[in-house]
Amino acid sequence: MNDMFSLKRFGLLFREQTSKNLKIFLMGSVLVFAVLFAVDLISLIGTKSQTLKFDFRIGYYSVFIFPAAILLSSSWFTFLSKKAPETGNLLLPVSAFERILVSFIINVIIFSIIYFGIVLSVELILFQDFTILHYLTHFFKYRTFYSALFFIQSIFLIGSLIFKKAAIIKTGFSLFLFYVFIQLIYTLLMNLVFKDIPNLKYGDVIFGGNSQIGNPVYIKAIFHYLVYLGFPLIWISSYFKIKEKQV
Amino acid sequence: MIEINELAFSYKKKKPLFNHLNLQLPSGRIHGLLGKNGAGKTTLLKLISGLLFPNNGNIKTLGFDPSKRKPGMLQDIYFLFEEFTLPDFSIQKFKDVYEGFYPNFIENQFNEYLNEFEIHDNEKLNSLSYGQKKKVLISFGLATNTKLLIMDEPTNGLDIPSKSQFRKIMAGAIDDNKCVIISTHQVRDLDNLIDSITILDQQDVILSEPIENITAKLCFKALSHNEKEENILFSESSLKGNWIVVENFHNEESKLDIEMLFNATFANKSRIQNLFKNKNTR
Repeated sequence: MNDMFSLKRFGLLFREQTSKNLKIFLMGSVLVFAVLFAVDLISLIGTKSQTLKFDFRIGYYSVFIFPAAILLSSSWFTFLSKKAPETGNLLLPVSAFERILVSFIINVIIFSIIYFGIVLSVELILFQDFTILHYLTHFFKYRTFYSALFFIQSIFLIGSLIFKKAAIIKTGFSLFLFYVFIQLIYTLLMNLVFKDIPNLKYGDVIFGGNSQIGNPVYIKAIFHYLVYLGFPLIWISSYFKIKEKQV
Repeated sequence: MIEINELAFSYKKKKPLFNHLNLQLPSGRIHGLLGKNGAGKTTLLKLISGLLFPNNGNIKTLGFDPSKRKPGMLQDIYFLFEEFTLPDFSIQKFKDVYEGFYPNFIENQFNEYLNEFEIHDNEKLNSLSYGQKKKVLISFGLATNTKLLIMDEPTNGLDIPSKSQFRKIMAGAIDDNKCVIISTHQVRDLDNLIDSITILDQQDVILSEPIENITAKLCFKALSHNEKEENILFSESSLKGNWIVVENFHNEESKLDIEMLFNATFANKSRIQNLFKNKNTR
């Protein structure tokens, strides 16, 4: 018997996971649709215009995709973090690799398709605009954005494996603290780099982002590589974490 | 079937739960796992199934290292937990979704067990009571026909008729290739069901013997108030006299009383242990 991967076991697990989480996925999708639709509609009413600037729309679709990713993947994260109730699931005859693969397909690939489907529906209903498809068909052009999304989603994945209770909240809070810490260190470093600008304050420079005084090229490169590599690295490490999980 | 050698395990560094624990649980038997609260019964079951990993020593479950949780091993283990949540499925869908994971699952058996427990397979799992859910899981677990069936407090939540149904079903489900481990506090529910008893206490196994060995070494009987007996290991008074456990010097036949055995073991731990250590010398 192949203990690493079997198509039959993979199929069974995929069916089990989708059947079990279908309701949450559907309810989450309806909620995401309602929020996006409401924001667009309220903005339309507020601006008293026929349409909204595409840049505005794409801006908040891009921001909202992060909480949506966490929301729609929450059932998987909850399974990973729960102790007693889902204990039995760890004894399902499947390999850790099959678990990770199913989780990846559901939470990364299917989630992306669903989110774009929701955004496209909102765009078509309110603006009859297909421009959003450009972002889907030019995946590599926007790879940093996608990588950042999947990177953050995968941080929640690893958070679910570390924290046993309220994993999503704790991971979110830890992520926030970590970013504040990195930003602090980064500001101190930039004070050393830009010696001619006295007393850079917290927020004057943004790690990985644009700021008024700019960022050195290599810092941007580091940020990008961190995001590109972080996503697969976290998924690989979560494979080992699942193998070692004890309940 | 299950071999545990020099097992050490602790949740906290300074408080070992098991130390140098050795145990063999052969197939073809229903093993009763007993112990006081906190003795580590559930922990031992989790170690055997691979949900927890030993700090030291080794465990072989069905010939596998359970901590690897290989699908080849897991498809031959079914663990019925004391606490569980079930997906929002009908019983039929639950069966459809999970049966494929277990190659020896037999649908007819599942339906028969459900009938025995008077449960209809079109019912929604979440509309059932805790006891009914447990009956579904017991039926499913037995129908998987796994080589190892682990049950943690299986009779908790079952009503009185269901407990006897459970005993009846379990008695018919065992064969030479299967090993069933039942951990419970409800020792009366195991009457006439288990073939061997394992008692845990203070980091170790204090008794692990087949019933026939226990009744060969110990005699369980009632004494009237005016009767006397020497070498009593444990006695419990009742209106009619005393229920006692004594060493079986005269090879008397008696029926095992699990509760009395449990109490006798804790009242005279070293005597009981010595008695069974020397089993080959008599």
